[in-house]
Amino acid sequence: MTTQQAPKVTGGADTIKEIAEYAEFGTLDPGLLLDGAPQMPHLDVEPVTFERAEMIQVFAEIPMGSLQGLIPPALAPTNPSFVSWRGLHLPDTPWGPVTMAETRLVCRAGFRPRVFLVEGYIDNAEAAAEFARGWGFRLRVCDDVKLRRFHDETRLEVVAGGTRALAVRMVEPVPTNGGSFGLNANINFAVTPDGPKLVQAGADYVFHRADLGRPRIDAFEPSAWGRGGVVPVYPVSAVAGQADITFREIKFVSDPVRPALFGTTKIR
Amino acid sequence: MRFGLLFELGGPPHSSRADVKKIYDNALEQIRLADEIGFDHVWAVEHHFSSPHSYSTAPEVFLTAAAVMTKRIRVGHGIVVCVPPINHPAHIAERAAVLDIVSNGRVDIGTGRSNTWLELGGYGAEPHDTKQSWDEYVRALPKMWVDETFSHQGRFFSMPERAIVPKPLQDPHPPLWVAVTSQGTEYDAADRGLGVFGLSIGNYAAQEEKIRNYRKRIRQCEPIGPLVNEQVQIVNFMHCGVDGERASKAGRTMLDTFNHNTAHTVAVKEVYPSPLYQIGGFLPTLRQEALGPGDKSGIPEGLAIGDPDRIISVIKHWENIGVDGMNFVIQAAEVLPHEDVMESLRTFGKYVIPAFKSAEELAAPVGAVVKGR
Repeated sequence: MTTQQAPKVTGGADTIKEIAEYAEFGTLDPGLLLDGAPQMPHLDVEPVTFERAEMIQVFAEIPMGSLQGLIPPALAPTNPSFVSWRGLHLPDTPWGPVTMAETRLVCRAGFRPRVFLVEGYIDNAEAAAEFARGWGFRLRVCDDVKLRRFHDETRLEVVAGGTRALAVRMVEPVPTNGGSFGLNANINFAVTPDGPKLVQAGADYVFHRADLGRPRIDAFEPSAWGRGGVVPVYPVSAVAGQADITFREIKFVSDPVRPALFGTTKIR
Repeated sequence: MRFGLLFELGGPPHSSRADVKKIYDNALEQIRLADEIGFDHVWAVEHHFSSPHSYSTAPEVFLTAAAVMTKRIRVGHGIVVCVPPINHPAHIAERAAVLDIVSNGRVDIGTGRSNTWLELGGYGAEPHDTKQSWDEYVRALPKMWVDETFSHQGRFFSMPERAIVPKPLQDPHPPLWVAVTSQGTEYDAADRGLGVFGLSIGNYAAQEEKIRNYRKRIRQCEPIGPLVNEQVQIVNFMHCGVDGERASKAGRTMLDTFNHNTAHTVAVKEVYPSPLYQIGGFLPTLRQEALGPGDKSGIPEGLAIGDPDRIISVIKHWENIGVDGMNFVIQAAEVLPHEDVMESLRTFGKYVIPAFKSAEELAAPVGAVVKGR
C-alpha cells in the first residue's frame, strides 16, 4: 500500500515579488461559468474518505495555444497543454455507490501544478449535490457513467443524452507504485459566500493496487463537456488502481480574475 | 573553488528571430568577459521544444563559438541528453571530440536524461527507459574515445565495428559528469567514477550529506573508463553588485522569471507516471529552492546574490562543505539588461574571484581535475 506524497511546500507570496510582464494567463471570462455553477454555502466541509475506490486517470495532449481560452485568468497555461480525465467508482458512500467522470485541464495556479475542472458526469444525484456543496464539483447527473476494471484493461465510459460523451481505456496494465502517479488537486469554479471563486479541491490516495498502462481514446465529444472546445490530439498516459481516497478539506480559494500567485486566500 | 556560468539561452515568449540572435550574442559576450576575469567553466544546457525557457537546442554549436573566442575557460555540455532517439552515442562522441580539438582540449561532458514531457514526448522517447539508456551510453563513451575501433550489441543501440574518429585532444578523454538531482544519483556518479554536476542547491546540511556519501563511495568505484572525475559542482544563481540592495532586487527578478518560465513546462512526473521520475527534475528543484525562505535581503541563504561580501560568505559556506565548483545562472529570459549582467560579472571578477584564487592561479590554464586509474 502506498500513499501519494503531498506536494513539497516551498516559498509563498512572501518570497515571490513579481511576475514577468509577458506572463500568459487564461482568457476565459468567469462570468460564462456562472450558469449552472456549483453553489457552496460554506467552505467548512470535513474531509471524507472513500474506501476501496476504483480510479482511472488518462492524459492526452490538446492543441498548443488552445488552453488559454479554456481557463480563467487566475490560472496559467502549460507547455504543452493537456486534458486529464479522471474516473472514480466509489462503492461505499453515505449516498450509495457512485461513479463519476471528470474532464479537467492541466494548468498552473501560481507555480503549482493543478487541474481545472471543465465538467463532470455522475450517476448519483444525492452525491452530485454533496460534492457540489462541499468541494465545488460541477457535475451533471446521468445514468450511464461506467468505470469497469478487467485484468487486461480498465474502461471509463459516459453516455449522456444519447451521446457517447467519453470512452477511454487503460490497456496493457503493469503493476506499479501509485506514488509515481501525477495526482494534482482540482481547481473547481464555484459560487461561495464570498462570490465566485476557484476552489482548490485536493485528494489523498492510499493505494491498494496501482497499474500503469497505455492510453486509448475511443470517443470524446467536446460539446458534451462544459462550454466545449477541448480537443484531444495525442494520447499520453493512463493509470488505474484501487485506493482509499480522501477528499480533503478546503484550504485555498482564489479570485478567478487575479493571478493565483497573488489572488489566493488560505482558508485554514 | 572553480567558477562557471550555465546558459539556458532563454528569452521572452514569441521571441523573434532577431531576438534569439541577440540572446546568443549577449551570452557569447558574457562568456568572453568571463574568460578574461577568471571564470573556469562555461556550460550549455541541451533542451528541445522548450521556448521561452531555453533556445539551447544545439549546444555543441554554441560551445564551439564560445571556444573559438576564448583562451582559458573550459566549455562543457551541461548536460547532453543520453536518450534515444534524441542523441546517438556515437554522435555524442564525435561531436565532443571535434569540440575538444577546436577548443584545444577544454571540453567537459555532462550527461543526463531529460525530465520534461516536452522533450521526451516530442521525440517519442520512452520515459521508463531513460535511466537504462543513460547507463548504456555513458559506459560506451569512453570506449569510443579511447579504443581504435568500437562495436556494441545493446538494448538501446547496436553497431558493427567502426572507427569512431576523431579522438579527442585530451588524452585519454574529456572528463565525464552526470546531472544529479534525485536522491541517490550521487551514488550512480560515484560508482562509475563520474563527476557530480548540478546537485540541487538545497540547504547546506542536506548537500553536505550528499557530498559525504559521494566522496566515500567513489573510493570504491569501478570507473567506466580510464579516468575518475572526482568533483562536485553545483548550480546556483548569481547577481553581484556593490549596492547589495539593488543587486538583490535584480537577482529576485531573475529568480522569479526563471521560476515562472520553468514552472509552466510540464515535468514527466506530472503526466507520465514512472517510478524513474519520482521528483519533478532539476528545473523544478532549482525553482523550489529559489523560492525558499529568504534572509533579510529576501534571497534564499544559499544563493550567490547580493553584494560581494554576502556572495563571498555564501561561496565559502559551500566550499566548506566540500563543493569544488559553482556554476551560475546569471540571466533568465533576458529579463535583466545585458549591461547589468556584464556589470555583475565585472564586480564578481573584481571582488569575489580574488578571494578564492591567486594571480598565479588565474593566469594558469584550467586543467581537467581527474585521476587516472
